Amino acid sequence: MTIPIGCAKSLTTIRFEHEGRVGELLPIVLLNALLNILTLGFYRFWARTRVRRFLWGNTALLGDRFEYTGTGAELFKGFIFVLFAVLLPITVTNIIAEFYFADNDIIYGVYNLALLVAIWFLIGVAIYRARRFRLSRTRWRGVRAAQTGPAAAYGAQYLGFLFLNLLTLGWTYPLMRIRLMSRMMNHTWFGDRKFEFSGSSGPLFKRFAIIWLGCAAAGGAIWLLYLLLPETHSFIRNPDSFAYADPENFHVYEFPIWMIVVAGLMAFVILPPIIFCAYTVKEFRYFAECTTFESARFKFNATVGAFLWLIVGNIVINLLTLGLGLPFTQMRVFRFVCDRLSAGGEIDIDAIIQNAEKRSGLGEGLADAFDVGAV
Amino acid sequence: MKSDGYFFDGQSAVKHAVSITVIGTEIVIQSKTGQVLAKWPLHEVDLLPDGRRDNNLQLTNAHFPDARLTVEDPSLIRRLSTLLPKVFGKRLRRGHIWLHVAVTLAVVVATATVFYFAIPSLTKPLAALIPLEWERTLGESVVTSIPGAQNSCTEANGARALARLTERLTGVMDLPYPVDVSIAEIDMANAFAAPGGFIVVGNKLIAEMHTAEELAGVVAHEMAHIAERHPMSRVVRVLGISLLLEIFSGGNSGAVEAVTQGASLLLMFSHSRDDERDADRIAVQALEKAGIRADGLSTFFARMEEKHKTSEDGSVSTVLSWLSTHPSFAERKASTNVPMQRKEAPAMSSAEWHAIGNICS
Repeated sequence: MTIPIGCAKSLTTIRFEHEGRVGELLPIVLLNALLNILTLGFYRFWARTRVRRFLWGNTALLGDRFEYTGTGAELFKGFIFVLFAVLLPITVTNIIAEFYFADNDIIYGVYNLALLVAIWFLIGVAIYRARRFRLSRTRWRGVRAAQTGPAAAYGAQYLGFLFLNLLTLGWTYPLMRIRLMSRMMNHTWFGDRKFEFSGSSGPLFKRFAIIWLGCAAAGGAIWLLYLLLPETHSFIRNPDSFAYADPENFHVYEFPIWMIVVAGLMAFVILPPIIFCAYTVKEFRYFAECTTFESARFKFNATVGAFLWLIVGNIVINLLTLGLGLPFTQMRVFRFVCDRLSAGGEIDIDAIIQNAEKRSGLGEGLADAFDVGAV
Repeated sequence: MKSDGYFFDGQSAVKHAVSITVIGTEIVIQSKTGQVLAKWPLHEVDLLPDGRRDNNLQLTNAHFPDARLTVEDPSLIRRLSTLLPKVFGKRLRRGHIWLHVAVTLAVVVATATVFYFAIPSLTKPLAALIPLEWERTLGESVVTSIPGAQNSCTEANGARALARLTERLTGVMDLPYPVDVSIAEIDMANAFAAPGGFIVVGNKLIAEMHTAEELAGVVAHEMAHIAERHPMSRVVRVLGISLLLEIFSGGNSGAVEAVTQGASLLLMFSHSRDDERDADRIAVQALEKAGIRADGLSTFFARMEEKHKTSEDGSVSTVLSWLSTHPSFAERKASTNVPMQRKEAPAMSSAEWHAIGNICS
């Protein structure tokens, strides 16, 4: 792509490009897998860094590549910090509580509840801190991105919405997503310029309601079917032979077990996430529309079908490679986003100045501990 | 003026098309209008990680880590690679990958070795910290979990004989707390020591024994486990190892997790075998101190070896031995085979030994 250097003022559409190739990523993945296995997973900080450098470095905007400047040592330090500040205290307290209290002790119940709340809060903090770390290690044209704002506020909001979701049977989910996204994007910077995000949960509710009611109806239908078919009961009593004999006319109904298993898997494990994709795609598109940088507005042209293909493909890759192929799935996500994300409007790129904000030296240890890292 | 590459000064996002010249020991970066944007002394220049691509080179400056220089002119790239041998040598050689692997392996082996030898000396003090009350609760649940182990045999004469043997051995052992030795109808020909000092000998194991000295050996062996606090150390060790590995190997792929779990099992088995060797050694010492014929264990192991021959020549393969919680019978037979001493006497009278045989009737 040719860029009008020095007069990048009136750009109509900016596109992201991802040029990562499976063949180039493969040697990195193989070496990482070998070292990860040899070190029983301890190499993961350096492995992750290597993959991120590849993914960032193969993503370009206006012909200039992004750069990931984080190091394995930073991630490792973050891990050690969280190990001593969070994981070990929790573990030791847990062991003591386990021995000290009887299982039916009310205080033990209170302790467990408090622990659950603390962990939910920490997961929120972890998500925010991980994003902050990654943005602070992301450069384009030598200029850093950043995320400001306290992680604890995000954690508290995350925790509060989880409770709210439980109380409302999930109906506050779109509101939660909008609020949390808004908190993140409105604290996201590139150089000295801030991203703006303004949206309301209203436009998401229609899609969410249809899916929620659809799932509820499907669940209800399956429940009814279960109640109506006497065979189901005999299956529950004797899972080995799923047969029911009607004593009046000696009519025998038989269902092979695999049919029941497949039906159950479809109804409760496979179908709901697939149906939910229809909401997620709508949400992502809306998130992009709500986001502006300078006077440029974002657009995310994803369809439900393409998104499903991405998700299903990634699940298959992960299963077939026993999880070692994770970087390939991440590359697919990068390509998916880059192919569909664009920004339209005016950005005076040349006027963007490096932000003097100090960088945190610790990597995303919490995210590693709670397994919330996206890339 | 032709463009040799691009320059980002690290202050703003402006992209400068620049001409790059090496003058003396400096890289001079000039804009199209001839303005000098930066002068980088060669010793301050560094190559970015992954900074070498098909047709370009990405450089930065140690004193201006935000600045980026992209060199696109092929002849200039060649020239720089000769001028900056240290920078290029560092990251361009393919061979460094294997160096990486070798260094990692060495670190892993060293860490594993330290771990292997440090764990036993760490777990014993930790186990000693655990209150006896907890240990007994834990031991009771262990005994309960083994079918039949709770129902100890109580025929009066047999129980008296067992109590006398226990007393003689208790006198010569360095026990942290009193032990509770019983014979019970469990479903396996085995004996075990649980945390809190519960020792249970299966009546099927008794049936395998030919002499009272063999029983004395087995009881002494289990008491040695208690003396060394092995059961509790084992709990601490297994918890500790799985916890450490869980924490350290973190959110990783299924493949890595499987290898990790395999490794932790091998480690636990190895420590378990060490415990058994210790217990055998201490048992023989205790028998000698108590003046009981100490060859019971070795004759018993000799018979077990005959019975459980795993291959035609009677030897156990090395790989199989790594997967066992106990050393091979052959090894244990040899290590417990000590010369008889003059003052040693039978473990109990033949009447007592007979009563032991009928303790469960």
